[in-house]
Amino acid sequence: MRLESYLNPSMARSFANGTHERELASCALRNLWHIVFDPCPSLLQLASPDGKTIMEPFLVWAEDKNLTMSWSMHIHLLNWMEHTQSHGIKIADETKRELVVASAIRWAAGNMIDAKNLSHLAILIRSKSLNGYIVGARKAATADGDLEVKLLQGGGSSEALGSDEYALVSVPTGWEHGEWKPIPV
Amino acid sequence: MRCGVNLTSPRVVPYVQELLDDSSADFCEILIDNFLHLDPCQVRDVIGDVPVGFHIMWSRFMEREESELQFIARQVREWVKFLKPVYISDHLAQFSFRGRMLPLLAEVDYQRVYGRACQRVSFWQHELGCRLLIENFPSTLDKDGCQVDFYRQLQDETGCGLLFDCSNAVIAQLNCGVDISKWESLALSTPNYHIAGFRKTSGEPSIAIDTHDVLIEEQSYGVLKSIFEENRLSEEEITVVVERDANIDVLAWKEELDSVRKIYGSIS
Repeated sequence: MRLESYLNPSMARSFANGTHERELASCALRNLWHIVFDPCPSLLQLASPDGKTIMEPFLVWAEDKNLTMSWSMHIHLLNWMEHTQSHGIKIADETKRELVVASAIRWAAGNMIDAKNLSHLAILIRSKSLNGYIVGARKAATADGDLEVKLLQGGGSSEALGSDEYALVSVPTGWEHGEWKPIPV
Repeated sequence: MRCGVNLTSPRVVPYVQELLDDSSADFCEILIDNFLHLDPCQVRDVIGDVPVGFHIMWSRFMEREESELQFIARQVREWVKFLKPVYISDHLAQFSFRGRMLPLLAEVDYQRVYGRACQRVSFWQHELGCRLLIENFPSTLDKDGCQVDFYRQLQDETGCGLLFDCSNAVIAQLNCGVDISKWESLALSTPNYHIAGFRKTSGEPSIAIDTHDVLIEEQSYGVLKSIFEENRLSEEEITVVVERDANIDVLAWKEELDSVRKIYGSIS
């Protein structure tokens, strides 16, 4: 089984019809579709009805850039969309916010994706696509609590911010954070 | 026999509490990934004084750097001290490919990874400070049924155990034709079981996928029944976790727990 096909629609289609390999790759890509679009309903409206016009070229680009497809995937998707506006899609502020929030939530919900996350309780993300605010997401603070998402003042102008960055928070309350770092691939 | 539920995230605590409070379940398997940043006493407070197991999903012990595994293990050991789990279980699967996370867990090539699996299971057990149970994979492409022999040899070599998922064995049979009887001696050597619902894809050929979001199939109950009939372990040792991760209907979950108890009661 060529596992690239789990992230590559054209390779998935290259398997013969009626094979387990093709069905498995379709299933993996369906899961990926949900990972991409479920947290971003307004994104799907830009590529309705099935999201293909965004999903397929993004996955080609993501493979070329060797994106890990981890928590930072939605931010890379946003940046890719901003840079490929030649096809005339205007990205609404709501969609930009949804994409950054999706990345922050994925970080906060995925304790073990990066083991270093375990000793941190929250993440802040500032993006040049978000003028004037930073997205924060905090892991559940109690065993029966929910994770917290907050839009915070700050972030600066897109001109001032060279590239998107994140910072981790170790304190249980407030957003005092460590150093800003580039968004990982 | 302890009949348990799986606690997958803080969000499902109210459902799990209800099932534990009315004694539908008397065991709780904690998906520790999603709680490890918390103080373990918080989890004890919400589930009460029931025995627990730890289930690990994202250790990725076959892929991750050893230093990261050591870091995770230190955290898990703190939880072990406090909650004293009956077992710790994990998954042997391929989570990423060339550094890229896969949106669907892939089955490893059992023959190719055997040496690494032995080394990594031994290392992970050593770091966790206990024997590890590895869950059987819901096979999709293992046409030769290599998984069963792989697990037998892995146990012999590393001393690890098996967390036998009855539904995953049914899935392997449906997808790959691996006769469930191949699992018999291994399944009877462990006291720890899972059972859950799975879906079949709509394509042709349809594939059974382990989803934990629908009702348990009769075939899975059948596997559990035959294990109960043959298992000579003491009643106190046996745990069965009825897994439900999504699309949670507490009443249906309760009925499934009840079905497991009835099956056990019918043969003991």
